[in-house]
Order: sequence, then C-alpha cells, then structure tokens
Amino acid sequence: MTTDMTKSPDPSGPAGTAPVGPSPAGPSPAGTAPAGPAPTAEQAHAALAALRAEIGKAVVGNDNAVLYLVLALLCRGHVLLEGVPGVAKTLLVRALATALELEHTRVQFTPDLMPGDVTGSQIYDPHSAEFTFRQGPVFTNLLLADEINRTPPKTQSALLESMEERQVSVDGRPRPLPDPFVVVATQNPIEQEGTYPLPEAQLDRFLFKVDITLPGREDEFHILARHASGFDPRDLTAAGLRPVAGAGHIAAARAAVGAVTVAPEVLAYIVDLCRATRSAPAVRHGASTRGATALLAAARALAWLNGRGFTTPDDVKFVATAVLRHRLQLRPEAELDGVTAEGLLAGLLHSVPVPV
Amino acid sequence: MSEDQRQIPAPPTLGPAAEHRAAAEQAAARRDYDRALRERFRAVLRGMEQRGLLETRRSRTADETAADASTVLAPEAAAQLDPAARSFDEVVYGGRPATEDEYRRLEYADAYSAAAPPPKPEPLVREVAEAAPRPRRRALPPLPALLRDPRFWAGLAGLIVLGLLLYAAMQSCAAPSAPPPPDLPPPSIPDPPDDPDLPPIEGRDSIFDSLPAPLAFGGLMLLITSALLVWWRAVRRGALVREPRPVEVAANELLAGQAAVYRRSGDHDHIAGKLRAAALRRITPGLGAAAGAGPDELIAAIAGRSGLDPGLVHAALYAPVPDASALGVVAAQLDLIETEVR
Repeated sequence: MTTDMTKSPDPSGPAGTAPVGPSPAGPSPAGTAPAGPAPTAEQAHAALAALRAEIGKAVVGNDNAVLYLVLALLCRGHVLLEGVPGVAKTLLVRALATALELEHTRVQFTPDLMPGDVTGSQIYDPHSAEFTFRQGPVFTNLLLADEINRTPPKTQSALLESMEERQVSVDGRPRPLPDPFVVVATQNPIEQEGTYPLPEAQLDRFLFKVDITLPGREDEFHILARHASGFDPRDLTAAGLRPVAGAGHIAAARAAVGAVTVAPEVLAYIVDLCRATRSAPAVRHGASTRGATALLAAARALAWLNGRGFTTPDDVKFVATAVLRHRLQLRPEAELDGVTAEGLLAGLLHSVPVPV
Repeated sequence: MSEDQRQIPAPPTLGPAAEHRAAAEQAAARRDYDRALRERFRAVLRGMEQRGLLETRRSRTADETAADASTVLAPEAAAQLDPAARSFDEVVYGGRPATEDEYRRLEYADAYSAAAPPPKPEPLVREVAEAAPRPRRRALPPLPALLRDPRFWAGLAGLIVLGLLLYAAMQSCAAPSAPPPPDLPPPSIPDPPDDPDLPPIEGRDSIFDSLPAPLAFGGLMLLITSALLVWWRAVRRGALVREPRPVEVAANELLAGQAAVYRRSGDHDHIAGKLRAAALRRITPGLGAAAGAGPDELIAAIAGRSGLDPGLVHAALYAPVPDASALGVVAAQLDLIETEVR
C-alpha cells in the first residue's frame, strides 16, 4: 500500500475561507482579492480565469480538461480523468492543487489499499485508554485519487459516501468533510492489465469524465521545448506556479453560479436529452436523474464562466458528452458493433430538437 | 410562480417559414418584439432550410444556425445573423426584453423566409417505448409445503443413510458363506452344433443380474422419479417466437452500422461507387445535362459549371479506387465538386 499525502505549503484548514493575498512572487492577478473582505463575483471570475492560465504554465494543451476541473469546483462535482499512462493526468491535478490555495492530498490507489486507509479508522490511544478516530486522507479539500481503478471495488466504494454526502460515517457517527471537497480521480483505460472497472454507482457520482488524449504535434513540441529549457514536473513552484484562487473565490463563484437563470425551454431540452439516452436502442441503461441534474449544474456553471447570467442550449450541448458519457451502459451487441457512448451522444445531440 | 408550478414546455416544433414570418409581423404590429424576434428568427431558419441552404434538422441552436449559415452565405449576409443569434439567446433564454431596433435589423437580414419553397417532410422523431421485460420462464406451480421443508429432506436423507447402514450391518452379520466347492472339473459344454437354424446360446452375464436386487429396484425407482421430476419442473422450450418486423433502428445507428460494414468489407470500389452515385444523383438535376448522358458529357458539364479541372472530375467520378486513402481522396473530391456545382 502506498499512501502519499502531499500537503499544500500552507494548510490553512478546510474551513479556511480567507482570500488569497498578493503573492510575493509577482504582481497579483486580477482576481486575487486583498486580505479582508470576501471576494466579489467579478474577482472570483477573474481568479478562475487566472487559475486556468496558471495551470497552463505546467500543462500544455488539454484546455478542455482544465475547464472541466474548474467547472467541477463550481458545481461541487468530482472529475474522472481517463487516459493512457504518460499523458500528464497527475501533473494536471497537481498543477491545479498548486494553483489553488486549498489543502490537497494524493492517494495512490494500489491493489492492497483498504477502505480504512482512505476514510480513516479508529485506533487505540494507550495514553487515554480510548479509541480515537484518525482521519484518513479523504479529509481534505482536493483529493487526488491516482489510478483509482488499480484498487478493487471494495476500496473504490469507500469513496461513495464521501463523494455524494460529503461525510464519512465511522462507527455510525457521520463526520463531515471540509468544503470545498473535490475528488479528482485518474484511471487508465479499463482495457489495461490489472485494472478493475469502477462500479456504476461510483461512476454516476463523477460529474465529468474527461478523456486525456495524447498531444498533437505542436503541443508535444512545446512540451519537449519546456523540458529542454529546464522544466521539472516534480517542482511546480520552480516552474512559476503559485496560488491564485482560494476557497473564498470558489464560494463567491458558486454563489454567482446559483444566480444564473435557466429558462423552462432549456430545462425541457435537458430532460429530452436525458430521456433520449434512455430510449436509444443501443443503450441498456441511460442517464439517471442525477445525470440530468449534473448536466443542468454544469451548463449553468459554464454559462457563468462565459460571462452570461442565463443558460443556453449551447451550454448544455458543450458539457453533455463529458457529463453523460460515463453514465450510459451500452448493450453488449452494440459494443460489439463498435458503438461508443461518445458516438451515441453525438448522434443524440444531432437529433434531439433544440427549443428555438 | 413556484418552481413546481412552471408550465412544462411542449416539444419544440417548427412550421413553414411563411407561418413564422406572418406571426412575426403580427407580433411586431402589436409591438410585442419578444415574440416578433423569436418568430422572425424561426422564419429565417426555416427559410434557409426550405431553400436547401441548410440541412433540415431541429437540433440546431441559434448560434449553430448563425455558424452554419456563415458556411453557405456571403460573409456580409452571414455577419448579420451573428448579432441576431446573440439577441435571440438573450431574449428567449435570458428573459431580456427585445428592442424594436433588434427586430428591424433581423427583419432587414431576412432574405430567406419570403417565397421560400414548401418544406419537405421532416424526419420523424419518435420516442421508443420501454419494452416490458419478458418473463424468463413459465411460472411453475409452487411446491407442496412438505417438499419445501428442509427438515423433510434432512429426514429423508437420514432415513436413506440409516437404511444403508442397516443393510451393511446385516450383510456383515449374516451367516458365513458356504465353503468353497471342491475342485471339480468344469462341466463339459458340448460344442454348439453348426446348424444355423438353431438359436444362439445365451450366457448369464448381464450387468443387471450381477447387481443386488434392492439396488436394481432402487435404481429403477430413481430413474422413474427423475423422469417424472423433469416432466414436472424442467423448462419447456416452446416454438420459436417470431420477432416483430420491421425492427426500428435509429437512423444514426443504422448509418453507423452500414458504415462499419462497408469499412469491414474493404471493397473500396463498391463504396466509391455508392458515393459517386449519390453525388451524381444530387448534382445532375442542376447541371442541365441530358438524361442518360455519358461520362464525357457529364464531366464536361461539371467542369464547365464548377470551373474545376476535367481531369480531377474524371478521377473523382470514374478512376479506380485501390485503397482507403484513395477512397478518402475521392470523397473529398466529390465534396468539392458538390460545393462548387451548387
């Protein structure tokens, strides 16, 4: 078992909502609020834009993955990153953690990891002659569950309650997790050796499933150029990454996202889209109602990031594949025919009527 | 109005361009510019679809409509639709009141809804009803309570074991077997006569004769019981059930399936033939070529209409296609020809 807990330089605590102050490393980004009052929605918007730029200092390409990570922060959602080894999945999450003034923990999921190693367990304290609860790595703001499908479903399921209820129950007593709490899990494609596919119940708890693909020629050239000029992926601080957003920004942004309006036509479009996934002949189980609410939340957050106070069907279409692809169970005969969830969703987005 | 009291919008449908245009003008006359802007945008969209500028589909958003229009319209005409799409989003989804100026701009840009050809029938979108799961097997009558009681089976097993033990004990306690017979010369069995009409001599070497009588009787009873049990409880395969025809398959899945079959077949010439026939079917009516025109006339007509090199047109329509890359080139050339001819 390997449990690597990488704490952030300044663990101000999960409840720490103090805004991030000016960094000594350089001028403050536009969205970084001075210490004192809570950040405004505009400052939060600028801070999240700066966050995306900051991650770009370490990760070349994968702009969509960065966008989905930011959206997950705004929606209280979790993200599953899938890709073959060596496409910077872990680096992406480490860069996000470095650019956020939040406590973060990394757990390397291995075949012998036990549920108690993730959630925590009761240990006997000889001094007080009592059993005390020792918190596991899940008690953090940003949990990097690295290679989550290397561990059996028993341990994978240890995160079920944490991800949905944001609490851990030990000995019948619920213990709340800090806010924000986001799980960013990475996994290899399930065709790889020694992997356990995630159970459907757990997949449904991820807001997004993002495919990390191999970079294009230009991006790969830039990656090598960075390495040639001395970039060390193990030392992101040396690469110039610094915290640009904190819990206060995220809280302000979430409040602003909550004010984004959704017209009944757009709600009906989301419903029609999810119902279409259930009635498609190639699908055994379509998107759940949780999937529909996740689609709504992601579309609202995207609308706010795009500077709008209302949601459009374009927002829904943009996030639909990442929100729904892992919630569809295809029929075996369809899979044999080469039908994929992504192709099916593309067809549905091309056929479900949009309210104009 | 509370969240639950919101009226559920009806499934989105659009009518002919003329209807939306008339509705827009009526709303504008009432100074209801929210309605007028929405109806006018619908009229523009339907007008472009009815004129064949855009593919007819209901899944296109306002922004996508403007983006698609920019690929088929002149830049100055397409540029007028971008702000209209943004206004449409803000008014319809954002709840902002439309202004008269926005409506008049869109009305000015609408050169498509007037005198548009009648709409073609739209593809039918039907929701597939969830089929009720079929029972996996016929309903069997419930077992009698006695047979469902595990104590009964335990008692029965106990009785059998006890019976076997008693049998074994009786066998071991039986009188000693008789002393072996004295060594007598084996009885002389006369050789069978060579007369073929006599029946053959049968020996007493059947396996059933060598079994103890209780075991043979028990086996017979077990066989009969098993047969009865199978007749009573086993699944009965009925006659084959015919699947209802025709099978409904979504158009996009049918297309994907056909494409997969074509790809697997590797018959590039056949696939190219299909693409060429479809392309010719679409562009020939607009060429003005005579019906049944030969390849040379077609090539000349296409080259004259599109300005493309006749050699390219010939390669696209009639050259052999040895591999997948050549097929890709032919598809791209056909696409170019269709674009240029239109």
